[in-house]
Amino acid sequence: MLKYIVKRLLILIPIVFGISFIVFAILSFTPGDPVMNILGNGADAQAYEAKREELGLNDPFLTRYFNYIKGVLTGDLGQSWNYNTPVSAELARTIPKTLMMAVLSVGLMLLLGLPIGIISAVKQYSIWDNLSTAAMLILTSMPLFWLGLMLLQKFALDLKWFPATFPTDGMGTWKHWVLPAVTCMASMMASLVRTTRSTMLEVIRSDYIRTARAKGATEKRVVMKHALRNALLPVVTLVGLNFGLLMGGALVTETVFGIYGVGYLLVNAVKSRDVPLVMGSILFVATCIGVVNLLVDVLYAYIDPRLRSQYVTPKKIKGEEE
Amino acid sequence: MSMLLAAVMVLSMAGCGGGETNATAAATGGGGGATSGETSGGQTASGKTDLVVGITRGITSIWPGGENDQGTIIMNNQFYNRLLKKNYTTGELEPELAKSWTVSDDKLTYTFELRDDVYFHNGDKLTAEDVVWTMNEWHKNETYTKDYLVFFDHAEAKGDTTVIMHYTDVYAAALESLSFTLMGILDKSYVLEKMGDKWDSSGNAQSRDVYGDIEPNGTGPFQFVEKVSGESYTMAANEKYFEGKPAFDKVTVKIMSDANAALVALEAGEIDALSHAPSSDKMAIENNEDLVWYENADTPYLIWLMLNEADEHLQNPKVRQAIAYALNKEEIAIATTDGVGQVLHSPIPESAVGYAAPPADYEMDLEKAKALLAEAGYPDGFSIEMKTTSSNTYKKPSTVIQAQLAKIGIQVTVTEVDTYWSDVAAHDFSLGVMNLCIYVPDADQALYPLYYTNQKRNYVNISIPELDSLLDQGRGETDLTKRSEIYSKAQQIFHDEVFMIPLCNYAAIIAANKNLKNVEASPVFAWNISEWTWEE
Repeated sequence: MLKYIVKRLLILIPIVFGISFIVFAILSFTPGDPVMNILGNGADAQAYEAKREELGLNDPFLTRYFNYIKGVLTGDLGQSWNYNTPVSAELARTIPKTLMMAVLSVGLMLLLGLPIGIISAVKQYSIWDNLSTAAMLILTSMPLFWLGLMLLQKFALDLKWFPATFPTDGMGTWKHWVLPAVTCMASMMASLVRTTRSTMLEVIRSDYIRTARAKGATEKRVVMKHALRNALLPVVTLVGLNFGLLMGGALVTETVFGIYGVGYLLVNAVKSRDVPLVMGSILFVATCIGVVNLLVDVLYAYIDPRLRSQYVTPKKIKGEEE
Repeated sequence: MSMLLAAVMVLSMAGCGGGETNATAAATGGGGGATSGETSGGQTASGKTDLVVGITRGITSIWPGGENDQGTIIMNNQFYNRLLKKNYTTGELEPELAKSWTVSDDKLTYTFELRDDVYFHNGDKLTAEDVVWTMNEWHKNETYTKDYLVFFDHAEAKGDTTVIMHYTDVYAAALESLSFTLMGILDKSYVLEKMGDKWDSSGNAQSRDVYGDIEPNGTGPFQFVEKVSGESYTMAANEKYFEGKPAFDKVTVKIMSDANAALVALEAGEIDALSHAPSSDKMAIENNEDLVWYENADTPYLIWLMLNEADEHLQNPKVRQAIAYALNKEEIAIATTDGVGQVLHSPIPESAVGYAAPPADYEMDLEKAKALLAEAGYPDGFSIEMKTTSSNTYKKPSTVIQAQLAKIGIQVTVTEVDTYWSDVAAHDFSLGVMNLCIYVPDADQALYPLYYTNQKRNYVNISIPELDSLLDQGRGETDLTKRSEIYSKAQQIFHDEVFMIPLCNYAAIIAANKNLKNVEASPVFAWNISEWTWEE
């Protein structure tokens, strides 16, 4: 298993660099002038050219890319053109917030979504199933920014249960995270509930479940010990996918609640053509998604032992003929 | 296993973060406390000492000459002082760092006597050398401030408190320009020591680049404490401020990209003031007894339509006049500013020195517009592109104009481009909306940089010798009556040639908690936070 993990991590490296190349190419060839953003629209021609030279924008595309990668390999992600601060410092500031948002949102999604999905499956076509279907439909149809604002209006302004703004420094208290986590989670929960429900329904109808019941196992044991574990694989895939995406920043949630994480940083960097900051953010996001996918694959092996053989090279038995 | 994982994640919420920051605590304290235990970390027996101001715009720079966006203006007004300041109520220039000044008879030499009790935030005493160095460096480098040092040649110090500024020609707005918010005086020794070899003495340094990332050090009522890129700026009261220490010990300016969320924060009391509150929220704020809406509609923050004669359709003045006749400016003003702004009839702000009443404006007359189009050879109209940015400031008026021009047969395609500014600078557009704040409200600043031949902001790329001549005369004429006559003639050219159509202006808006006193909406967005107090 360890060999598998190391192999996957090594494969991740060229993947991340491949992504960085594509993104760098897009940034280089799409319209938009980073120098104009830096110097303002009143810059004169001489200064404009001097700035282009300073940023290396007159160099060929491949030269610029390789210079950038050379920096990355020596630990230098460059300086933000917009903020004039090291890209690493900007990422260090925003990553903890994004990580917290992702962890809380996914955690809340699991805490609420899994039980609802299980109950919907076990009590298929009951009032609970219908209610959860309706609720998930409403949640998935609701625009995130609207939901966020409505939660702020109700719980921060009217009821004053939670703060309306995020502190300018630090990570705030748990109360600062409740509304953003609920907002972020809402869009993902519907798919988790529906996926859990459908995989549980599939598993519950299996022969071994019938056997377990026949052997006298309680319904709770049948569902939680036998059925759930077998229904978990697609759920784990979904959780991993959502977590990875959230590491790219939940921009709408971040903007509404003023939690300026990687998403906000990345979008502003793209708007201002701040190439070093975009590249640094993308490298981070791509790496996160790759690592999360690896963790999901490893988790598969723990959930379903039958899959472990895929991750382990079989040992040759002595004397076995080839 | 997943349930266990989820439970661990949820339980970990309890260990999140630390205590409240002073800013949030103070803000919730002022508003009645959003949650238990979050009251007034910064509140003293005499009242609030910490203030949180939200702003719905970005802040590009906290250095003079670094940029000219409104966020930069607001911050500069807290960190720096200028030689003079403008009283926008009386229209008079008043002393600030300079306690008095004289102008030579030929109006080429300005002598300023500086106050002797001014210190920079790091303790350095302000001397004439700082002023001289600041002015000379700005003039040498390509900063925004240079554009306001018209005909400036050099400055020299005489002793520690006398500054003599020499001009090569008479500039009517010389003193007015020195009151510009971005004319804050720098500490020479501090800047050179911090920048070292990075200080560009070649004269090629540009606006945002000039000072690198060193912390500001001015003489203003507040001193820099901390900056979180793209999020907030924290500043502390200057204990030794020569006009008296501000009421608030600490002020945090918080950038809030979502205006709706910002309004909720203001209503919840978590921010004490909201700069650039959306005009669409005026009614909601005025109906809230805990909030006050401050507005100043007499701003030099102008919005106009540019008509580029490089487009073949716009080469005929009759077509341009037809467009002017087709526009309903009231409708544009309401759509663009939610009714808070005023319709404009002149390219010169009414509050500007040298303002002259413009000729009678084009009143909407669709039949006349169609007749002019027919005379110009377009009886069935034509198609034309109008570029815009994604910002509502540009998009809203563009879409209204599109609908209005359709009524006379001109099919406008509104194209949103990321390259709007570079396209406009390269004159690569046909129709386009522009908005700029004329921070030094003087007729010269409203016209010369935008319409004189080959000026870098002459976006419509016009070259009218008669207009150039009038603008040259206007900037050198100090007699107000004669200036008005000159600009009156200039406006006739604007009216006849129609290379730009003034539309409306944006009001300066700030919404605040009712307990925040002495708040005034400065027409140039230079909020005087040092004058604000808190009274419950």
